[in-house]
Amino acid sequence: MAHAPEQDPATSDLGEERPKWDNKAQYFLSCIGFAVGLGNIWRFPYLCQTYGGGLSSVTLSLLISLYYNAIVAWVLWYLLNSFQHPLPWSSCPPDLNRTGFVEECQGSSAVSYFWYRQTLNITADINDSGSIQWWLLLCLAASWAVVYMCVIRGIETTGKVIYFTALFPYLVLTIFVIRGLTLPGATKGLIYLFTPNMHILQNPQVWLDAATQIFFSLSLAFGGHIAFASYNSPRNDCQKDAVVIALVNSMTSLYASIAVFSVLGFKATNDYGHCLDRNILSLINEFDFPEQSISRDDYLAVLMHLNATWPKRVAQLPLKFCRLEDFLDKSASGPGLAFILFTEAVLHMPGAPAWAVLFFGMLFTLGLSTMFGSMEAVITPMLDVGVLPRWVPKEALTGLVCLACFLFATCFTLQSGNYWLEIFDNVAASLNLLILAFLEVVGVAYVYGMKRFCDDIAWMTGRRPSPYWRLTWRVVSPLLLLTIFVAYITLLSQKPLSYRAWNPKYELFPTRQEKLYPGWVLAACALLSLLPLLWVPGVALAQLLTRQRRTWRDRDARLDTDTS
Amino acid sequence: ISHVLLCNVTQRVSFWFVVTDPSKNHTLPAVEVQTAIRMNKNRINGAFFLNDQTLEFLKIPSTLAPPMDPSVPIWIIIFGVIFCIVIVAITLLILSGIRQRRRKNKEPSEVDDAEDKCENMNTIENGIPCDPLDMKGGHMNDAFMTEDERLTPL
Repeated sequence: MAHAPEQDPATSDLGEERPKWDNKAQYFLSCIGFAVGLGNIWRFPYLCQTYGGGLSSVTLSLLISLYYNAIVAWVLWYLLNSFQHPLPWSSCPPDLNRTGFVEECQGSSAVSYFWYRQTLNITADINDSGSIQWWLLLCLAASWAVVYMCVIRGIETTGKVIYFTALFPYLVLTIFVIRGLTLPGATKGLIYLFTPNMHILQNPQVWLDAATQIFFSLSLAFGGHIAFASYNSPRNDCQKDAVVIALVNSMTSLYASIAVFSVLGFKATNDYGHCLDRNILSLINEFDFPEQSISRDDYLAVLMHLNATWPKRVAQLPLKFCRLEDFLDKSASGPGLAFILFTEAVLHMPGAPAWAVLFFGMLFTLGLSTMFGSMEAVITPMLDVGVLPRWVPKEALTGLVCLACFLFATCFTLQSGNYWLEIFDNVAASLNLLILAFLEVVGVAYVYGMKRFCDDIAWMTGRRPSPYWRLTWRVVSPLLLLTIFVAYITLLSQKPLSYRAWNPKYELFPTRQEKLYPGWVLAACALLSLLPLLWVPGVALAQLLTRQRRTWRDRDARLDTDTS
Repeated sequence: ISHVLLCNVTQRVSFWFVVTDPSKNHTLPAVEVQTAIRMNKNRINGAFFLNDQTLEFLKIPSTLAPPMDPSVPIWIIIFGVIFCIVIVAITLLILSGIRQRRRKNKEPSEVDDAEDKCENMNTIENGIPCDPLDMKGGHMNDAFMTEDERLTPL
């Protein structure tokens, strides 16, 4: 059985000249690609995890689990609220007189009000932390309890749950694709999605966003893939697995965008129709036309005619300029898409509560399956390294980790929690992942050695990797990662970091107010972004010191034997 | 109808009206009429088979129906159900884990007894060794390298 040649540094001959590192940089990088002859190849990336590079990965996974489950808690809150008719975000609550709606809701929309006020109860500034929202705390506790239940015995339990959590989203997506395609206006949304806008494609920012999206979408450098792969048998066709996972991921994104854009097309058509109706109502009220005398198709012709005959009366009317493209452009990503756009779209579908339950159920299971990966990436290294003594059962370790994460994540249930979550999302995850992935690729390709790695792959899969793989590992991937990283840094440094706050007292409400981050928040950001990576040089330094101490001890022992 | 006078009729179904008081032979003040309409909007809507969107009295904002407010919000009920199920599942998993571990702890002690017996038989059998049946954890063919042997300790 072909093995990597074993080089155990601890048993080198005392009399021989010890091999030396060419420079300290090699040593530091070796801490990452820690594969120096420790036997079993399929556990090499795992061992790579237990030192330096691993601790970074673990810290990173920990940080990400913290804020990710807060998002899952929000999804759970919406899911629980979907079991009623009419849906709570369908209408504004009336004000005290009951003559109109609450002012904040009137100014924005019922859906935004439900999200920003009744769910988050958000403050207008990140400095103003506010109090803990008990309903969000309950949802957070429930989602951590569900995660604990599924991760309690490691892959024994997740392996069973994953059948549901991985397949259910595909089922729901298919249902939404079918429903979406039958909605009026869906085709407009799809045409909008698939027509390339040459002007936008020339903007390099778009390509950067695409590259970062595919990178984060595959959840690389989290350690989750490594943790899961470590449970495979050693003779596993990892090459085929990698290709399949990447393809399935991209196909799923495309499939999901079909569903999303057909629903968004429907919503845009709906909003456009309402915009026209409001204008028509103003015209009818002003000129005392009978009800329904102006249809949506006649509107433009009638408006032109009235503008010609009564220009002054028409000019004083609050007529909005309705354009379908404007509504189609109002797409959002992230929480905005799920909690505002989609919830509003769902309202207009017949049988709204059922669609809401399906949609948020799908998001919940998607979030859960990602949480499994993150938690495995944290817990499995801890178990392997032996952080707690052997007699402590696995369930207790998992429970402790989940409890600690839950307690820490309660800061996201504060009124300013959403602002902090955006920070975690933008800062903690992105830069660290890029750097870690870059170090991993460089570590494997250059420090561990391409030849050795190809030998390992040949042993595992039965064939050597083709030149395509070798080229991408050596050149393309590091270059791409470096480019993305540099571009990211440049964009970050170009303008001061700011966030958009929900401030009802803002003049341009409901547009969100742009505010700068205060100094202490920026310091926290810097810490978050550097913390996971500090382990790499930190542990390397610790190892260096222990080796130095050992060489000194050996030298002293030799001197003693010589002199005695 | 006799006490309601119409004027300023337009093409759209909209009109101005005043209400007269037959006994005092004067029109009722607008404020009184407005209050009366506000109180009885529902009945007026019903009489015309219209609703607040299709029948509007200018300067009389219609009071909105209060939202249906159940004593216990629905989400709390569903939350309670899910949470209880999860807690029960966690307890069951932990208990089964403890039971598994206790069973594993009992087995080595039984195996030790069997091995002692084997060794006794060894001496009884005059040095002919017992076939060492590996009773620990099932039947493992030592001809194949096991995982643990391949792993060099950290």
